[in-house]
Amino acid sequence: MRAIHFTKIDFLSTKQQLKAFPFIAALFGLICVWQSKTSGNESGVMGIMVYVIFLAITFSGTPFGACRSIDARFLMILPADATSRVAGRFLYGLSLLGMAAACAAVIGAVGCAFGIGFSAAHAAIWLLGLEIGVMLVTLEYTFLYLFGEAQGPYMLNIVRVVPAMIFFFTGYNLAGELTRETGGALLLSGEVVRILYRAGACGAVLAAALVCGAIRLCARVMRGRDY
Amino acid sequence: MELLEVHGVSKRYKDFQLENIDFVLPKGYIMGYVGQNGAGKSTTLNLIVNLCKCTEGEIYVDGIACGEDEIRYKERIGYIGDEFYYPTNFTVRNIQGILKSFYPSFDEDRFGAFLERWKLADKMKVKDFSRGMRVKLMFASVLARETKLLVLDEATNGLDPVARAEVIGLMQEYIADGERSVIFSTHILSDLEQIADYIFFIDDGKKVFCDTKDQLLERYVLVKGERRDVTPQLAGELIGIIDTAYGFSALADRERTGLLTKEFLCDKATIDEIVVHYAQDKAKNGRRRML
Repeated sequence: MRAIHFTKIDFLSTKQQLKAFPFIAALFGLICVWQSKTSGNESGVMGIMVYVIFLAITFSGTPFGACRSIDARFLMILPADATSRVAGRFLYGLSLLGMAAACAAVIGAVGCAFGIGFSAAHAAIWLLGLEIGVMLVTLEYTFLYLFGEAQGPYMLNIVRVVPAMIFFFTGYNLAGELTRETGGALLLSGEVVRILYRAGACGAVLAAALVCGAIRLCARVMRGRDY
Repeated sequence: MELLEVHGVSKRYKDFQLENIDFVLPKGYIMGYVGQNGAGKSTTLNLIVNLCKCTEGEIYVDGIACGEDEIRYKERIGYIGDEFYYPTNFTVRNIQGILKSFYPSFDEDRFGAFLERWKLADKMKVKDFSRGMRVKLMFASVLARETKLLVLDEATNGLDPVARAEVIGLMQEYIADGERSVIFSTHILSDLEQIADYIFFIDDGKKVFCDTKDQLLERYVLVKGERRDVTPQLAGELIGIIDTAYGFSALADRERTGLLTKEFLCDKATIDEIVVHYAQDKAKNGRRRML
């Protein structure tokens, strides 16, 4: 319960920066829909997810920057243990990814209304993208908790942007390759869809395990840290 | 019954060490924690609030160690730092909401009454507050809930005399029921004289003295006179000789004033003078007299 209160504090601290999130997501998403519609290429459908997850990963590091060391003292004096504080921060990152998924769903629905095809394989790929996003945010937070907090804004910006860029370029190129090579036919194969969903299920378990492990590790480090 | 117990606490940094700090503060009393800049005042208070972790030693608040039950430990402490610690993009209402969610004893009506008393607009962002308003907001946030120990780290610095007097009044009000205590550090030693029951003097990370204010004032006299009248034997008894335009001033133990002849003027020492002369003694002689 206390973790949720810490998540609320993070949302309050980053409210100003987050205002831009849905607008940028909607803008990029609609560009993808438009591109997909005009080129008849399915990569745009996957691009929606790549764009919004990219944005969520970029925005997820904001509380580390928004909290000056003196603000971090405020979090430290509140009656809670280190696990709640760290879990609250992770919950913030996961909530952003959830918001990103919701934005993608809305944009996808708009795309469908404009006649863009959306298959079961697309849904599985979106799920996989979301899971990779969870893993990247987890790694980003772990790094920031273990090394980044004291390194200042320069390090923070690198850690925020690098995983997001890797996700963006890899994801977008993969989506392009997948549809270019097979013209989208591969995604209609029942076997491929099954494999994608199995991968999605394994990814979900792996992401959950990674998040739990990272929270425990970061809480352990934070317990001994001075402010 | 002791409210705050600090047992053999040490903290080691690369360039500074807090060594073996040991004291107790009973319920219903105020302790002034004094020392020069960099002496280790804030470090000690940060250790009590658990912003820093002890290298050695134990701290108990109301019989609870932070390691035993961090939540109950922190609920008992109200901390006001030398710097404003709330995020400055928050409004007073945001802060109120957060405090309500974390502290079951947080009383919104009481908080509102403090806001009204100090004219703090709840819709205003705290970045638009002056230093005095920020300190008052920190006081409102800790006084609006049930705490046992107030930890004030140079909280009265930057306040105008009227606000400072009000804060001192609040501290006295706070301990009035005999169940709560205050530990505060300050450079304004006249504040100490007014309200502190105990004085802890720290220098270079080590305890110099810790005693009740009355005993300190009783124990020391301020000696003034001509430097040429000071014999080597007397110089050994005087603490922190400071040369002035009219001669010298120093502290002396009231029980050892036998060496003082009628050429010297003896007067009551203030807390300010006791601290200044001890600091001078350390600076000049590189020695520390432990009490």
